[in-house]
Amino acid sequence: MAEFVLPLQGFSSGFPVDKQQTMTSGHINNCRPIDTLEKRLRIGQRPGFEKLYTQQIAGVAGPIVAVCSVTVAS
Amino acid sequence: MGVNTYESQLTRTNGEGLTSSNIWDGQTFTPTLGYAVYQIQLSLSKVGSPPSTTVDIYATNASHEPTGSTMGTATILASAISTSPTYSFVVASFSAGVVLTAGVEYCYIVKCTGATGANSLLVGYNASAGYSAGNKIVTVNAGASWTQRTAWDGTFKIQGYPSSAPPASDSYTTKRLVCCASDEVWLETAGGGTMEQVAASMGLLDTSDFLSMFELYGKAFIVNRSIKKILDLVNTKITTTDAGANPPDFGTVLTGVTSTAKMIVDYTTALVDNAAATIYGKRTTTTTFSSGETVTGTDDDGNAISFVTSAAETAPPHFYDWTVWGGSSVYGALADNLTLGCAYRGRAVVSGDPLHPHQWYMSRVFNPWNFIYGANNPLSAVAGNNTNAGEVGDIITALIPYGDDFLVFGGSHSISILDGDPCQGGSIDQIDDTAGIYGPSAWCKDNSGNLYFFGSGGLYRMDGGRSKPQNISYGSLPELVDEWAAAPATHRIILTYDPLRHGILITRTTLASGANLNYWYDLKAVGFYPETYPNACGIFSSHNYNSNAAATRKTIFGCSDGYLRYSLDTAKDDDSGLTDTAINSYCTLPLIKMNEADDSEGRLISLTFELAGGAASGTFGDTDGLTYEIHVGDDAETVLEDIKDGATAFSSGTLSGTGRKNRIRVKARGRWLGIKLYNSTAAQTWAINTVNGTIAPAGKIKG
Repeated sequence: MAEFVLPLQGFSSGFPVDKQQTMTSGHINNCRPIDTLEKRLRIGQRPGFEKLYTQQIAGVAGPIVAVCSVTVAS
Repeated sequence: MGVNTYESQLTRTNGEGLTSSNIWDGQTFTPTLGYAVYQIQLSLSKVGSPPSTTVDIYATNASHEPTGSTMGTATILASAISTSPTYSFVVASFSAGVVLTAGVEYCYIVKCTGATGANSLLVGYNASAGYSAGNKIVTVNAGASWTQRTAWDGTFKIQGYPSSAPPASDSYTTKRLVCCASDEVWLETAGGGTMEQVAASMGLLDTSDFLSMFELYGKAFIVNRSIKKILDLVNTKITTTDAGANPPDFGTVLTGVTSTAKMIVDYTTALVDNAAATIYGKRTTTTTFSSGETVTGTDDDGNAISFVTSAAETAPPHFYDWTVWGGSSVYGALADNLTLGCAYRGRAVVSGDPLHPHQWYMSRVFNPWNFIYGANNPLSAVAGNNTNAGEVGDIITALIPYGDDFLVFGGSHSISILDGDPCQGGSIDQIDDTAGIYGPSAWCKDNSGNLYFFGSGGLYRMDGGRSKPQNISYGSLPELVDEWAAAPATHRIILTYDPLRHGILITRTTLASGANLNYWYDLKAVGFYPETYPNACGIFSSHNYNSNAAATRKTIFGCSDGYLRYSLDTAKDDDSGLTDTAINSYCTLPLIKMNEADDSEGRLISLTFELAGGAASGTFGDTDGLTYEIHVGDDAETVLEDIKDGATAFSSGTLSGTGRKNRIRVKARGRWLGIKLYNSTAAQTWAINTVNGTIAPAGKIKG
């Protein structure tokens, strides 16, 4: 029994399919090499997006074009 | 270590008799140092056999009376007290230190509950005072009312040790998130937890046009072509209808004659005598400027400043135009149209004027209101055409500061670096004339200071931010540029370094719809991972928010639907507004040649999957299930295309639960083997440890 290689180095389309770079995949989406369960290097689904705040900026579906933070002495 | 005496008054002239439960005696005191009280010694005497005595420490109110709950209680047994007429100091010990703050008034209160005239307590005091930071207080109705004996003081020693209380805070800073969308600015509330509109900004931006925002000196500076604004989170605002003949200068200290409030002037809107002005400054006192009071100061030339406020001060935040000092041309001029901005060496740096696309401008150091170019001063404002460093010979597309060391100018087809300060021998050198940087946000830095940007050939890296750019995507993603077909009029490209996951998110979002194509570039595994998100999550901006609150210390994305989002490991779906969207995740293992001999096939006999999570449940994370597909074929490319096209698999199945799964017997014959793993079910995620298989030779390829 042999252990099949996981595509821990992600996607690659730069070589002929039969000479695919080691540890790369020719067909992969929404996966990351560090899993979300325990942050181990082993391939898994990417983390999902969550709202930081429940407020929709300006109350409409307009894109947020800039974000920064400002620090002041308190 | 001996106990320290922090407050004391040792003289005794008289004694206060506590002859009932309602008569209490006390003393106010104000520590000059912060410390923890462990004991109070009182000069006491007794008549008969009084009950035990208690000593409490309280905070005081504005009337110098005890308020709130006791901060600590100590008990004195009657047996420890001398019989009248003898007085002696008796110790009242607090089992836990009562922590006091310097400069804050407290009091101790002595009670002898159950005392009578025959069995009472005498509390010594000095009728000639002797302690300057408080006085004796008494009540005859168990605290319903108090009498201040301002000329008398108790006879006492307050003793303890330096406070061992932990610091109240490890930082004196407050951070707040700012974002721009739908022509207005929103600001995180001071305590976090919500975003709120900056009402004064409503409709004053044009977020359909170029816009750049950067932090400098407690403010967010916004350049939005002809619109130039500031969100000021640090200054207090005062107004006057007549700024007077001598308006304040930058840095002038103003004082309210009535209130005694003081501020260090940061900005004023006008410098004209008999004309209104709004003045912003950092108030340095707790007292505040009031309406109608005279404010005075002295300007840089020694002239007396005097004006009358037209309203009480207004606390930040404030939203106002970014102009030169007082709006006066004496202090230079901001360029008419600006689309790029950053902070560098204490200067506000701006660029991106379509009429002067090669030009850059820097304010005076520590003064973003001063744009007097060409002054012979190392701190003065400077522009590309007023210094030996010169303009950049390319249209500037991005400004990338590296601390105080150097500033990278991204160009449409080149990269240049400004070393040092242009007013102190700094020079600009072009280091590349091939790649260019796609747009204002098509770059990021990793935690080692390496610069990544999207350019004409894909993704590039500049080690340390200043080496020659190296294309790092071409080897794995040779079709990236063609596939993305990115056009600034149609797409926005954002690069974001995620320090928690140590990788870079490269996103191309369609401006009109939020449709997106993305790659995660993992810096640990060194590989590219394609990702797709719901259009609502299309990324238009990002920021690594080093918040003081762990809940918001995230890499934050400004999304196409007006929500701020972040990546959450426990989120198994993508939040897409009112609903969640399942993540369609799949992964094809590197294709496996089942027989190394030419024209020969192999046979997959069995497969064993080990899913992540170990034992089910418990405290460690568990994977959900996943589906596998097995494809075989005579050549690798056909197998891969079958998988991509969704061709019927030779075999498939679903795995559930964690850990090692039972061996799957397959008997799939072919020259090449492809295994696809996937899950597109809502509220599920997956991870896998290993895939093992047994392959045996199967003879020549038929046909």
